[in-house]
Amino acid sequence: MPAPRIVPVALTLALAALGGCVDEVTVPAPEVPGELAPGQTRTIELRFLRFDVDGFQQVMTIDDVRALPKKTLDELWLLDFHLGETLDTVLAQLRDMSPSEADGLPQAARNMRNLLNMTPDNASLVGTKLEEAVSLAGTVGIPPAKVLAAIPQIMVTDNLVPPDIVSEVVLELLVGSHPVTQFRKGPVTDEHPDGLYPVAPGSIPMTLADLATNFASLADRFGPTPLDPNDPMSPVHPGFIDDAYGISIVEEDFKMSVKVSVNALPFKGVDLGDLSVASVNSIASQVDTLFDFNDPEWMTVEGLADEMVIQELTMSIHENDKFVLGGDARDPKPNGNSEIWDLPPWEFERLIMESAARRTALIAPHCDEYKLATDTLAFEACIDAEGWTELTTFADIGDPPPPAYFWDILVEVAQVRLHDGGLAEGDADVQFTLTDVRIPIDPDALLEQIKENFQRDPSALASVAERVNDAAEGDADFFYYQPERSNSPNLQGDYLYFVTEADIRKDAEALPVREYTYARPGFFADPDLSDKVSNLQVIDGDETHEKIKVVTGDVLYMEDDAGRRFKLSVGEKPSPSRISLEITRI
Amino acid sequence: MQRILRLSLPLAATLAGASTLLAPGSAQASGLDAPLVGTGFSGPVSRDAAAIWFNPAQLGYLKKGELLMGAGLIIGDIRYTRNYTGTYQTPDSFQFKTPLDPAYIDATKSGMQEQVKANPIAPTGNIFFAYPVIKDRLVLGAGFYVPYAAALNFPKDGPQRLQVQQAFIVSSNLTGSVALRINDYVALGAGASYVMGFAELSKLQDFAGVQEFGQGLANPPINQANDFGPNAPSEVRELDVLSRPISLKRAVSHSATFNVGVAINPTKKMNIGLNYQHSTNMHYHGRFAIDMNDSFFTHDLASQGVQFKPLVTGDALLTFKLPKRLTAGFGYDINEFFRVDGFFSYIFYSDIQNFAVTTKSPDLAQPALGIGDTLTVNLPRMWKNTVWVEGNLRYWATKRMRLSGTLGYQSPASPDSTIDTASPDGHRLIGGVGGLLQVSERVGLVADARMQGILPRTVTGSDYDLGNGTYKLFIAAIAGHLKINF
Repeated sequence: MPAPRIVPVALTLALAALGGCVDEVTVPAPEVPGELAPGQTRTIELRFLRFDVDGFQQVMTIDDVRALPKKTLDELWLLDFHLGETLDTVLAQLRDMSPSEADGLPQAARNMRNLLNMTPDNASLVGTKLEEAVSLAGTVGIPPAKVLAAIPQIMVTDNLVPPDIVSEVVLELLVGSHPVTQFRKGPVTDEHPDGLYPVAPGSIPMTLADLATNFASLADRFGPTPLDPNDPMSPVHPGFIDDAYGISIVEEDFKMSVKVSVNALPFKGVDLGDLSVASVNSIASQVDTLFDFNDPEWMTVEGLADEMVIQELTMSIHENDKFVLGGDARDPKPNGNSEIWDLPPWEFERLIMESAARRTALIAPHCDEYKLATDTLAFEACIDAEGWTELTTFADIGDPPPPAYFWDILVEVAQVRLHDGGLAEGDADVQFTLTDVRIPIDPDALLEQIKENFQRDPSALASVAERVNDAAEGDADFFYYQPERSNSPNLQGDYLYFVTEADIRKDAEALPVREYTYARPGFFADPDLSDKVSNLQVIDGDETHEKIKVVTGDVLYMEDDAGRRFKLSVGEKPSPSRISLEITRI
Repeated sequence: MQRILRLSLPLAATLAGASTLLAPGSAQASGLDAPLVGTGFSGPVSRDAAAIWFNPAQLGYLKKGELLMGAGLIIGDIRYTRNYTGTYQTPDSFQFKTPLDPAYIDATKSGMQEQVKANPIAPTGNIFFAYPVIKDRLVLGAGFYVPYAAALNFPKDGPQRLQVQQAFIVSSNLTGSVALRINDYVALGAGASYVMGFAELSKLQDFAGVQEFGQGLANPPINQANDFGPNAPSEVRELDVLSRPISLKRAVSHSATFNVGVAINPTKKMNIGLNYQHSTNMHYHGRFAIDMNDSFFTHDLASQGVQFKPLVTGDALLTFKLPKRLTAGFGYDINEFFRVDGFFSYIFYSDIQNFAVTTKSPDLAQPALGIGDTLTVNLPRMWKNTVWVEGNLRYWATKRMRLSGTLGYQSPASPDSTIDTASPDGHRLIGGVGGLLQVSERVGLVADARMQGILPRTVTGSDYDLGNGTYKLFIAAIAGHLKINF
């Protein structure tokens, strides 16, 4: 409010001028630190402040998650997501597609759909060895479908190979042979020195990136991939997902929260390069006590969808370029002599062979006799415990097909039918696109699995907490620490910790801003750094830092990451939680 | 003769409110208020131009015009010995919830501390003018005076630093009065005042006592139960990291008030005066600056939404009400040489339960903690109504010289629970002497010296141990006036 220009104003202000000696609060411009010249000394003060938060709830919305660095997202493994239900849904959707919809599919995909729907009743055996058996049945007046159904002991309208077996085999062989479904990256530990961890069979490793992006990278990750990425001549797995569009597994109100108990403040240290006070993120060093796993609410997730929706999914299964015959001999046991068994597990023929073999394993040994109207035995179809299938004729009704394992018979049928429509051998790679695929999900089960995984390895989640609570500033070479007051009195005191690689500040992409190039990490008693006085004593669970307890008058020597050496003298303590250090470059 | 109204507590209020800026629990100065309004001969039953302030009805009996102007100097000596009776943690730690781990208790922070003192010197002045526009009937008057003034300059690092470090307060009135003489026995008077206040002060602001800070810590996303807030126990107060230097500068208030009075003369020797001074709503608009330059506030919790600029500045509004008061004066001429007079005031300080302070700055806003850019804080005062009695003996030493002696008493407004160095209040004893030299028929010179001091007050019942300790106050005021009649 502007003051009126009247006498009181003037007088009041005059009085103020006389007596108004109240100092205005100002903040001095920060000192610009600089590199110490050899022989130069500077004193620096550090504070250890403990801000112990208990059950601090860290909430991340989907936008918060998406804002995390890609590296963090990619490296945070949540769980191995089992694809069984997904494949069941996808294959069922292909199988149950209406004829008019199926007309829009490529010929090979239409043929595969037919295979999935193949029953004794609708099976076309033209061009296969079973064609002769069918003709035998006709000769004796028995419906061919009945003969074909009798061998696997099914009804004529049952699938020759049940969908669950197909799904199971595709999962094990096609999916399971893809490199990405075999190992995932994780922290390097003594048990996993290469940082690789096996993925649960039939599963794909699901990372926070998958959650954040709704599996945007699905096609890239599960497309063609060398079996050995380090070998340029390595065989290439052709992959099984060509394209995936419009996947949603989290809702927009997604919220992930974890409760942490932590000293929320960074450690204060010294960057010897310019003798400035720097902050070291304290989260990583508290990983063992970060989460209270006894609290069932230590982690909650809201907004996980109860079904994964894929607007458009294109999958493919590649066939071998040549027609590979089914076997015709019992040996070598137990599979016989078909070359299909030697094909890569992701090829169509191998998938069919495996499916047929698993179907065959369900058949009890038996013989079916077929008689003429005169009650004379015309022919007999037998399958033994090994799946060896043999048709024998007794009347002069024709020659039966040669004996073979039942899977050899089926695989021939499948191979022939896959090329219906005039497809040449090698042109029947199956590719099909499905729309609006909806895969049921149990969010609670997913969450439980995620929580169990984090409980086994909290460091993974700690890396996110570290990012979210990123308080690092500057590039400290060492920092000041005071053990928790609950420790024994002889452990209490002031400690200097030399930084480890984990303490290096990260950039916006979660990558270290500098390499850890310390030739002699730690604190020494002599300028030549030959007598190390720091050690890896375990304090508050930390066993990775070179540390030393210091008191007034102590003198230490150290070297920074640029090879500069310094003498450090511990000065009088300014206060219980502060320390004064006189640092000289030598 | 009433001379100085009860000014100390309003000053205390002013300072207290202003210095509160962000946190209740820090108090302010008061005791320095010994401003001289008029002369030592002025009062509710005195017929001089200073009656504009004391009792405008007395103007009605002025036979001639009068100009009264003067200047003075106020000198104070305020001492405080803090006595820590509470339990405190080591100030460089940060435990925010009781009970404390014994390892954090600062055993050295106990008992009497070093004495701190302030010796303020502040000028004051006034000018009054009254003129009978209708002889023996109607008198008009105008005056400019400074009824409230205080200055404090305590050590910045003393034990009182969280209460007040420096303060300077003045409140000036520009008053226009009118008096109507009914007859020889009764006159009525009234005045309307424009009140301008000016305030500056500095202290350490203890965020531990700030409600919003405690709530911000307790609310999502931090969710930490804590004891911060106005009722914070001593265990979580006075932490280094939360004690932030703050200053209020150039705070100016524009307000209005009025007074009405009646003068009654039952006999020629006896005078009675009654005056009602209305309350004044003070609104001090100024600028505040607070030093948040600690990495705790500027950097370490930035990812949780706590990030202040190193220096936060913005607008500050301090509001409080100067209390209304009723004064009854009595005077009697014993003989041609001696006269006695005095007054009794009842001041409604219970009007003041809190001081409201509003600060506004976009740099205050911490949206993640639910803290907006505007912060309103109430500082509890819970003051009590007070009485003020004074008696004067006047003596005509010669025809040209008149002498005066004063004794008085003021009761304290601040209860033990809220007292602090900003209002070093207590049972106050008042004494004064003065002299009038009538240089000529028209010109007179007045000199006054006035002293007041509180009986040393030892407080042990301060809420949250904010102001326990021993208070001492002594104020001397000297003034000279020129009185011209025409």
